[in-house]
Amino acid sequence: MRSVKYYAATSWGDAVATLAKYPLAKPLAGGSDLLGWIKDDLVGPKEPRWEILVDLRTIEGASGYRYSQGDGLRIGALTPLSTLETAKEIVENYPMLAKAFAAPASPNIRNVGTLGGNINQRPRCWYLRGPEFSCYKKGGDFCFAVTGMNQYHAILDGELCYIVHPSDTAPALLAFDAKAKIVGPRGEKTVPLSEYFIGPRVDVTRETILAHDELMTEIQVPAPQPGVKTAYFKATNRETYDFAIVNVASWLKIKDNLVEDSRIYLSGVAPTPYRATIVEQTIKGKRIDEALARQAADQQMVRARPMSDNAYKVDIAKALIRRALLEAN
Amino acid sequence: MARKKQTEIRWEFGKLVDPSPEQLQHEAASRHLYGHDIIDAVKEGRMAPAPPVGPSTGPTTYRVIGQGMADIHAVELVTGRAKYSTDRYPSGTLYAAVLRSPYPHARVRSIDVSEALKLEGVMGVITFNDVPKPATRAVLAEEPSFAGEGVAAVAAINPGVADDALRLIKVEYEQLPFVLDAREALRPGAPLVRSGLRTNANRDPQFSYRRGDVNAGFSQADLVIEWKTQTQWEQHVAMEPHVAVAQWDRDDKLTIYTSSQYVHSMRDGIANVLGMPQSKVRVISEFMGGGWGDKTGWLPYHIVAAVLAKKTGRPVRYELTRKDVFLEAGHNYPKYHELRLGFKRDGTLVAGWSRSWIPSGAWGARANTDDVESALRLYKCENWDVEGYAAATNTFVAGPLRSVGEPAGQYAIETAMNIAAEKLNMDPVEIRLKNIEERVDQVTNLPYSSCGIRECIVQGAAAFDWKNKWKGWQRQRDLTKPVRGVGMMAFAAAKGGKSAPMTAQCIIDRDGSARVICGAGNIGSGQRTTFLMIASETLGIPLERMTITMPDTEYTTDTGVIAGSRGTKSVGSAVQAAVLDAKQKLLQNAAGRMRVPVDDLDVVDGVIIQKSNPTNRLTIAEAVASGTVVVDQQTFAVSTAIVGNASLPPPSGYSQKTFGAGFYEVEVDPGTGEVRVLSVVQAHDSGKIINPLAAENQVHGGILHGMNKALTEELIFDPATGVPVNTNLDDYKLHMINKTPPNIKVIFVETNDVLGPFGAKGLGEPANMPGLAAIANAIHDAIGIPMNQSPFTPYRIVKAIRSA
Repeated sequence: MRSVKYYAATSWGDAVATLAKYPLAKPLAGGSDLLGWIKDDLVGPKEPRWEILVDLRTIEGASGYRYSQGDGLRIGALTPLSTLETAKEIVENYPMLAKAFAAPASPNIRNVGTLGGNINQRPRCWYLRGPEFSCYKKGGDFCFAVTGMNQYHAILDGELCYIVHPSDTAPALLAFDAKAKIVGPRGEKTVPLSEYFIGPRVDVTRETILAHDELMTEIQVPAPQPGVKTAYFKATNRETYDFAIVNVASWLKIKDNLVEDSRIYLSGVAPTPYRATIVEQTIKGKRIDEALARQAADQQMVRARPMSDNAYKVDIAKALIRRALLEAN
Repeated sequence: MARKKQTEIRWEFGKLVDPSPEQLQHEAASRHLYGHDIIDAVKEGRMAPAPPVGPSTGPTTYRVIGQGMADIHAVELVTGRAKYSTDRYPSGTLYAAVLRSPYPHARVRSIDVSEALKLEGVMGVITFNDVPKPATRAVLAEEPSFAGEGVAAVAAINPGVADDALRLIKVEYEQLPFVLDAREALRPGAPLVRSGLRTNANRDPQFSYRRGDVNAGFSQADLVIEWKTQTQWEQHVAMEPHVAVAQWDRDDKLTIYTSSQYVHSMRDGIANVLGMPQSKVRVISEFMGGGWGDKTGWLPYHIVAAVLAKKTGRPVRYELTRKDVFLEAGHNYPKYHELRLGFKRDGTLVAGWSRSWIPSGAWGARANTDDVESALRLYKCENWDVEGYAAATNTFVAGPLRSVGEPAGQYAIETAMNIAAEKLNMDPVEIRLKNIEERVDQVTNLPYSSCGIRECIVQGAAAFDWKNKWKGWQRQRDLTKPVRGVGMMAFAAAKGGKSAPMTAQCIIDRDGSARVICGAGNIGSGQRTTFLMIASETLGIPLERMTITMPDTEYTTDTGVIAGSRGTKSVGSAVQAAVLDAKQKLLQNAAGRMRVPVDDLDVVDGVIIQKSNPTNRLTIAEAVASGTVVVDQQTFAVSTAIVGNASLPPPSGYSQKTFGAGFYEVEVDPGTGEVRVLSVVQAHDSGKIINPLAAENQVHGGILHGMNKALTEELIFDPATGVPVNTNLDDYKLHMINKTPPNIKVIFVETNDVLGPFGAKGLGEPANMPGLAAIANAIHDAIGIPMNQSPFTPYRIVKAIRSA
């Protein structure tokens, strides 16, 4: 690995100021993805060669969570996933979230990997992550996936760029309508996670709304509601230590056996976590059964635009959507 | 025993196309390495066949053999005291890094290292101009012929500086046309993989084999199965990466610590490339973290480290990064196979036709003759027509990986057998039992030295409960929920049989303890424990009073390669012969001292006894001290240590093969394409099992290895750029420990092999053979669709269901 400078931030303000001062500084959390990124020296006209790592783990209070019945769940962005997947309050009040927090990578990586890092990790695409390929995202003028090997690439919302969003936790948090607290040079703000991600249709070089000198500090999950049924499914190649081929998180509010409200998100299928709005509309006010689940999944996936090798992901997405709906039944 | 006439046998290599003197030399060397020269000499009557070594009908109860013994190095290994070559940091060590070509085929127009040399901490930079140019493989290439081939290297005071320096080397490339696929590479007008080649075909065809009349065979057939399979590029992913720590002494002697299955071959190769006497090159590899066939000969990294060490005057350590390993090291080649099998209505195999193609990389010269060998001998069949093709390609360099081409060939054959069973509505076990040949190797027409194939299939099926688990072909499958299926395969493997020439020594010291001098590799499956068990059983001295050397060319002779499942069988034979020689000398001494015939003596529990009068005893120390030598008709006492020697040609007169059968149960989720292996039975005829604990352990590892081959491991090239896209452990997927099947049962059908030491044969590779074919067949049974391309990832399974 090439040499980089290391800076241990003492506070969020210190971290923001350091980032603001150095355009080639990069925040460091667990580092399980970032260090590999630097090792592989993935650079391009739109992909800077980071020279300074600003460690956020040294910020007091950045890690940890608290839960109250009224306020819901607040999780510090630097909290390791392994802390969250076994936290009593989360397992009891948000079992689906606990499942999502246990889904990424391996126990070893979840010990160092943080929730903020998992949400903000860079997308998957072996061309983006291959130093030999100068693609759109890195500032090149070509997407290698379109004519190349695209079995893991996006089936939805791809345009210019067919990366997939890899986070196992983001769709689960989105299904719970979570918010992100952000700190920057101009102070703090809170935004819905549903407005946090940016796809290539908007800006191919960005993935979130964060500016260079802004940081996610906290995730806020609303208090659990009665009558809500949730489900979480992840399809992979090897069950553990693996990114999702497709995953789905569902949140369904059921009243008198009918779906009153729902949020259903998928990861691994699009450049950002993908909201299955057609499914939500199809099931609204209805009672879920096999036929409805199939109809909803099929109608959603009419939107899919698979390439040469990734049509199988359409089938897997349909299967997982059906399972998520029927599990809530 | 009925034997066919020798003239009917035709197993031929194609002619070398325009061979260079180096190629011919390389070919002779590799024939020698695998003992083919001696086998030919015996066949042609130029050399007498070697007598079988070891007792063919010896005692069946042993003192040490057959006991489950913990590895003699277990404590060292689990306490972290065992030194691996990656643990070597001689004082003043520099760190090397290699700049690699981003193109699959290019010529370096210009290279400028001046900026790199100016970087603080950089102690030396070399390019392709500074290294020897062996004909068989570029150390650093001016015309890189695969993506990732090295063009320059640096040595620096730490790995970070070395990596920074690589980016300061300015290279201007001229890109050249490239070809990745074997069949494309063989087409007229295909780009040549590197300049200097006149054709991409190494041989044309690579090999062919014919017996009987294949057309007549097919005309008798009631059913002809036409079937095509494709396997994938794989890397070995040894836990310990390839490493060379090179150090020059003042007297120009080179010492290299490396991770090696065969230090003597590496020593010879490195000396040859550097133009040095072998006596001045020392290669050491004490403990190693896996080899799987990829660490047997020299590779560019050895020479890069040696040249940089010479240039800087300091020890240089080049530990390949995982990406370096993926790019530069050896790879198992993908095989495209076209197969036709003809059957009678009752399931009798009457004809076989096979064509296969492999890419061998720019520097590979792999012969995939093992591709259908298993089937050629496993099933009685009069008529076969086989041709195999290999082509140079701008891909990874192909090299042996555990079992080499056999699992791919077995996959083609055994899935075709399964399809035939389905079409004939036969039990897959039954169709195999109907066709197996148990006495004669149909390829060489030599009798088997042992064969337990029938027992492997029968006992394996019983242990698996095949009768109840297999639900028959004519059943409805509900693919809306997870479905279970079972599959099996059988094999007659070349691996674990044939031997190479080898040497070993045994020293009995003055106090009656003994040492085995063995230079064979120490790849981590407990061979040294096995060798000591063989030595202790043979010599009669307790194992605790014996030691065995580690692989170090300075103090050992060539005891053979630990590859091709030869360890127990070949190296064990050499150890046994050396020990027998020492024992003979010891008993001669004792006979003189005790004044009894030498034949009446034996060693029991570390004491020499007279067999006809067991109270007449002599200690081993006394016997060692009782040597005599006659000089000028005068007898002198000699009390130095006894040295036993062995220099063995491979035994002949029999065909020695390993046999086995694998039974797998899987659960397939048709919605996601995920596959779970639920239970496994593998039954092996690997002869007498020397150390059951180590053997069972090896089969468990082999099962996981085979599952990887079947389900996840696959290196993928971008077709447009010729660059591999998943040279990392995120995207090249190995199973984690949690994928271990909940039920594994290992059965050893212990034949008493005529040739092996104490009746033993090889096991390392047979252990990972069944997975690919048996899992393919289990998936076929589960979803009703045969799988024609491995690995069987969700991508392929969902695609198969989608297009069924």
